[in-house]
Formats: sequence, C-alpha cells, structure tokens
Amino acid sequence: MTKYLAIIFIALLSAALWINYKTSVPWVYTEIYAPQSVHAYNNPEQLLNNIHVRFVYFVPKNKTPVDGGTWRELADSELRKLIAFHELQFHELSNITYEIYPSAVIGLEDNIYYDTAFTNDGNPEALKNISNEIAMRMSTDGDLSLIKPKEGAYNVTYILYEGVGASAGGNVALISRKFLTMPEYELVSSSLFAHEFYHTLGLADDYQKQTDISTSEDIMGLGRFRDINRVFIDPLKLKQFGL
Amino acid sequence: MHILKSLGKYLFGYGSRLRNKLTLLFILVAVVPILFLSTFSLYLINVSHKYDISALELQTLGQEREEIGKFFSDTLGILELQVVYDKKAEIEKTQAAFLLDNILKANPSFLEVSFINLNGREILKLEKNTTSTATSTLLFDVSKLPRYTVPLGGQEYISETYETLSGPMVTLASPVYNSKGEVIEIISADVLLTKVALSIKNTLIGSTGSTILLDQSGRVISSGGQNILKPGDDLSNRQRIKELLAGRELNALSLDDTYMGYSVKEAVVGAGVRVPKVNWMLLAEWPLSDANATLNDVRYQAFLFTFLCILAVLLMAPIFSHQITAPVEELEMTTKEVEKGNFGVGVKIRTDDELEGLGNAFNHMVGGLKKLEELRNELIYIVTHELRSPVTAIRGYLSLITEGMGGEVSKEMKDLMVPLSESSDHLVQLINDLLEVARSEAGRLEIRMEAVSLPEVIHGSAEELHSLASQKRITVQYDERGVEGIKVAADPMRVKQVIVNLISNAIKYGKVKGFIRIRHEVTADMVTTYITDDGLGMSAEDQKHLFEKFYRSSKVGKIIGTGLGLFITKELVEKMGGTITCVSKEGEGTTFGVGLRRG
Repeated sequence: MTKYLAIIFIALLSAALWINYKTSVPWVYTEIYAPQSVHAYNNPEQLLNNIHVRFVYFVPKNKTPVDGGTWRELADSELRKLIAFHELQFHELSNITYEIYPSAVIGLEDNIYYDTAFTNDGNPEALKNISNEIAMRMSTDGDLSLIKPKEGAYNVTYILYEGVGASAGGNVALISRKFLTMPEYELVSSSLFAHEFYHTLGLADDYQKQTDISTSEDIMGLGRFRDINRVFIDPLKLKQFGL
Repeated sequence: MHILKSLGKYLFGYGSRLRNKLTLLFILVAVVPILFLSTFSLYLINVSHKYDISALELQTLGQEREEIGKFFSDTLGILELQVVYDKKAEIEKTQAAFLLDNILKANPSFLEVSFINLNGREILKLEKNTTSTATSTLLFDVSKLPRYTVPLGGQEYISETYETLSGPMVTLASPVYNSKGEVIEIISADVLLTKVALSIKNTLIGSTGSTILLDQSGRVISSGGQNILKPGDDLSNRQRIKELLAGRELNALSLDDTYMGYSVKEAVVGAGVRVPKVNWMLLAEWPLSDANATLNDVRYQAFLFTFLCILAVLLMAPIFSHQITAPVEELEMTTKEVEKGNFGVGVKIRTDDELEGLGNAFNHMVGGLKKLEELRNELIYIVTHELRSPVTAIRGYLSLITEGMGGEVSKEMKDLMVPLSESSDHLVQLINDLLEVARSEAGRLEIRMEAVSLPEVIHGSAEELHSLASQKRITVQYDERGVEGIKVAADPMRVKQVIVNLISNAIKYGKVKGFIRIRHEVTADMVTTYITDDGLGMSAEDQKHLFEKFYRSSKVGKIIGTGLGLFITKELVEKMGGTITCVSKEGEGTTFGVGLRRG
C-alpha cells in the first residue's frame, strides 16, 4: 500500500513538474533555410563575396591625358559611389575593393586603331582592342605587370577611356571620360559608371539598342540615366545573384 | 521536541506502517490538489498571457497598417487628377508645370513627378532638390515600362519597393482623366518611403519587441530590432513569410508563432498581417525574454507558493498522522502489557473523540480483567491449598506402601507403584508451584529479609541436588572467590529456593557428563551469581517468553516440568529487590545471572 502511494505520488509530482516545465519553457519553432551565397548573375559557380577592381586610365597614343589629379579624383569618387551603391544593393554581402593604376596608361596605337570606323552601341571594338592590349601589358613581362589580380577575389578591370564609348564584356568595363565630366551627364554619370560595372557581373542591358527604349526602371534600363542616389537593381535580378 | 521526534521518525523510516500510510495519504490528498491547482493556474496564466501578447501585437500591426494605408491615400490621392475640359488633349505645359510643382511641395515624400503622354513619352518632369537643368531635359520613352502601361488601362500603379541610397522608394502612377473620363495622360511619381520605414523602425512592443515591413515579394523594406535585417533582404523563403504570402494571418497564438526571430537573435513570439492595396506584409516580433518577463515573475511566485504549500504539507503530514497513530500505538503497547498479565496498566488518551472513548473502554476492560485475575488467583490459591493436604497424604501413604509398611509388596506391585509415585510427586510439585504463584499474585508471599551468605546457600543447594546431578554424571563446579565475608540482603529460604531451582533446571536440561559452573561477580552494591550449564540452550524466541507462566519450549521434549519454576524464581528475586538475567545460545548452554543487593 505504502509502496503504491509512493509510486503514485512520485508519478504525480513528475507529471506536474513536466507540465510546469512545458508551460514555462516554450516550444520554439526552428526553421532550416539555405544561407545566401552571392554569386555572379545566373552563375552560382562564380562567387562575388569579394570583388577587386583594377582601374586604369587609358589614353590612345595620339591623345593627351588630362591632369593626373583630376582623373584620379574622378575615378576615386566614382568608385566610392559605386561601392556605396553596391553595398546597399547586395546587403553588404559583397565587398568591392579597388586599385587605381597611378599614372595614365598610354596606348600603343592611335585612337582610330582602338575605335575603328564603328563607334556605335558603346564602342565595343574599343573595349575589345584596349582590353586585349591591357591584358598583354599586364602579363608578367608587360609594363603594367605591377597591377596584379587579387587572390580569392573576382577581378574586374575598369578602363577610363580618353575616347568615346561605354561598354563592357567579360570582366572588363570601359567608359569614356566624357560621360563622367560633361555637364549634361553630371547627375547620371555615376549611374552610367555603375551600369557598365554591372555588365562585368553578368547583367545585360535593359533597353532596345535600336530605339534606346528602356524595358526596366533599374540601373540596367532607364535607371542608368538617373541620379545614383535614386537608382536600384531590380529585386528579380538580385535573386539571380543569390540574394 | 515531540515534533522533531515525530519528523525524525517519519524521515528516517522508524514510523509505524499505519503512520507511514496515513502520512502518505495526507500528502497525497493535500499535494495532488495543490499541484493540480498550481499547474492549472499556470496554464491559465500562460493562455491569458498569450492572448494578451497576441492582442498587443495585432493592435500594433493594425496601427502600422493604418499608417501605411494613410500614406498611400495621401500619395496616390494627390496623383488622382481630372481636368475640367472634355477634349482628349494633353494638359497645357504651363499648367502641367504648375501642377507638378504643387505636387512636389504637397508631400515631402515625392522625389520626382512626371507627365507621360499617351505615346509613352515623358513630356514634363520635375525633381525635388535639384537646381540643375541637366536631368529635367532628359525625357525618355517609357512606353515599355509598367508605370505607363498599367495606368493606360485605367488602373493605379504601385511598383515593387526598391532600395536606393536615398532610402526605400516606390513608383506610383495614375491616369489623368478629362471631364468625360477618358485617359489623357499619365502622371508618375517616385515616392520615398522613409517616413513609413522610420515609423516601422521606431515601433516598440514592450521594451524590445519590434516590427518588420516587407514588400509583396517578401523583401524587407524596414525593420526594427537588432539591425540584423537590412533593407532589401529576401525573406520569401522563410516559413512565416511563406504563410503570409499564402494569405494566412499569423495571430501569435499557434505553436509555430514562437520561433527564432528574424530581426533579433533570440526566440520570439510573432504575429503577422497583410497590408491591403500594396500587398505588403507586417510582422511583429517580441522576444520571449521581454514578453514573458512579467509572466516569469508570476510563475516564480506561483512556484514558490506551491513549493511552500508542499513543504508545509510534508512537515505537517507526519504530525497529523502521529496525532492519530499515537493513541493506537499506546493501545497496542498497553495491550501487550496486559497480555503479559500486567493488569495495573491503563491508557491516557485525551483526543476528545472516538479514540478517547476507545481508550476509556479499554481501561474499563483492563479493570474488569484485573478483577477476574484476582478472583482466579484466589480460586487457585484456595484450590491448591485445599488440595495440598490430601495430595501430600497420598504421597506419604504411597511411600509407606512402597517401603512395605503395610506388608510385603511384590516386585510387580512395586513396578506399578513407580509411575504412581512419580505422578504423585509431580502433582505435589505442581500444587506447590501453583500455590507459590497464587501466593505471589495474591500478595501473600512472605519475604523475610536478612543478611545471607551466598556460599552457604549454594553449598547447601548443591548438596541437596548432588544425587540428581550424579544420576546424569554432571559435574558441579563452584567458584566462591570474591564473596568471602560478603552477604546479600535476601530471604535465606527464598534465595535457596531460587538457587535450587536454577541448578535443578541446569541439571534437568543439561547434557549427560556435562558441567554446571557457579561463580559470583561483586560490585559495590550488588552480588551477581552466575549459573552456567552446557545444556540444550534456548532460542531467542524462547528467551523472550522464558519467565512467563506455563511457558515451556517445544524443544524440551519429555522432560517433566510445570512451566512455573522460572516465573516463581523471577517473582522471588524481584520481591527480594534483585534482578535475574539470562544469556543462552541454542545447543551451547545457558547462563542465568541472579543479582542481589549486598546486605
């Protein structure tokens, strides 16, 4: 009898303690979700946690470079704005560092060699010719071998061109200095600068080449002609970056 | 002291079984309701608290929802334009500029407003805080953009929210109607959501609870809390956001509403609602550490109270059970005394209830038994006294016949006379013993105390029993060292009776060729005489009943005895102010010790 009473008592006490524990320590729902991984547009293999921009001011042989302080300040200012914009859009999950080659890089050829006869659509020929020359000169025995790619980062070469055009392909972007200095582009220059940069991360233009009609409001469309402070990257595109 | 003793008994398990049962029963009867009520009240407090949290969170979200609704009423409302003329023509440029300028001034959230013609071309655009004419001249074809295509169909357009360096923004667009209700132009505006975002960021629930505002695709517009979430963060893959996107309202009442927070790194209880018109989502997250702070205090107090109640029950239960079992125990003890023939005892139960009545009845019963015992003793005394003379005469005459005083007795006759003589002896012994007992119990036993020399008594007794010991070839050894010149206070006849009885028992139950050793132990007050044999010995159970009347061990077999010898011995020793002890081991022998005061 005593034994049974003791067992009942212990059982009741345990039950009460269990209920009290359950009421005082709430059950917490824990969900499992995939962590974000920032990568190139539609390319999960190419991570973008660290992006390194090697900035070069390229002047064809037959052109005169602007004052060294001017273009470096310009480059520094645009790169800083780009970083601020990028950090916001990429939620600080992708980090941009940059290195500005200290002096103007004088081309081996005249501008006509780089530009060819066709300079429409952002002068893609200049991009191709200049990027080839720079790649060659950046190689180990070239005169630009000091600009080395950063280990573990996605390396982008950004060319400020003392000529015409704004274009990008692969991990090289090119923009004419005029877009950054002419008064009519004053408020949108940074957006144009960023627009070309985002081509190197895999984004395509969002406007019709023939009519120049934009098909989106973001930086790859109409946004390239807006103040960088009011521009954005379309959330659907951010999704393709893993965000 | 009584309480401590009772508690000690309970705690260390020395209590009676009844007391243990009653104690556990008390505990069970008292503690179960306490535990049940405590648990139930905690459950009710929890439920009530949960509903309070839910109400507070939903109320907060309701206010935020209202604020957002008002924000869009204010912004979209401004864009609702209808001109007074009925022709389907664009608004005159000066008037359009005036309108855009007023719109920009009307609401600080507007950053840019523009008119778009029916071909999808921006025809006039004004931006806030811009003196430059550079961008105002940049008018674009927006015919492929939804801020044109949607209002063209007569609907208002609210874009997805997007993050800019100026803050979260949204593009609104609305058709402009003429007096006939025809769309003549589109008005579009870029609207800063900083006001809404700040309101969300600054909203507090309790001390640390926060809210999160998400757009229709599950991206964060603004969030309070610990700055874990950043504007633009995509939460659409999170369970709660999925549920909100699926149209379910989260009321902070279900099990899943307690989860690891998105805006804080701890467990939260959360509610969520949709914001109509824009299809945004509002989520409230209140860390449990804050939300349950008061509840934890209440719970702690409830636990403390319950614990104290249980403790009180645990302490009081043994005392209460003792109150009930103590009289029962007293009755039990007294009954055992009565069983031993001690009718002078009684119980003192003062409980003013049935137990006291039982105690009184018991005392009356013992009184009645005492009277009966006295009557019985008197009867035995008279009967044995009256029997003694004829039985003694019978024995005498039998002896004379056996000795041939009445003529020659044949051998056959002699053989027949032996058991008759033995039975007669036994009968005489029995009557003598009974008479002795009756005398003792009737208080008629006379003791004449004087200084007695124990060696003399022992020598005399040994002499008397010599022939008996010789029959079994038992050696009697007497060590009288230590008692030379020492006397004890006793009745010489009675002390001899005691010693004879003990030695004769030792012979009777001793081994053939065994021994009996007699020695003394002298202290300042007492002289103890030890009589040791190597006989049968006794079990522990036998020793318990050794001095009881008519008790005979089952192991003595056919050895003749009345079962009164040791009872009488004890009575005599105690009447002489002495003590008698016994130490025995079955099969090894027995030692009796008779202690008498020095005389």
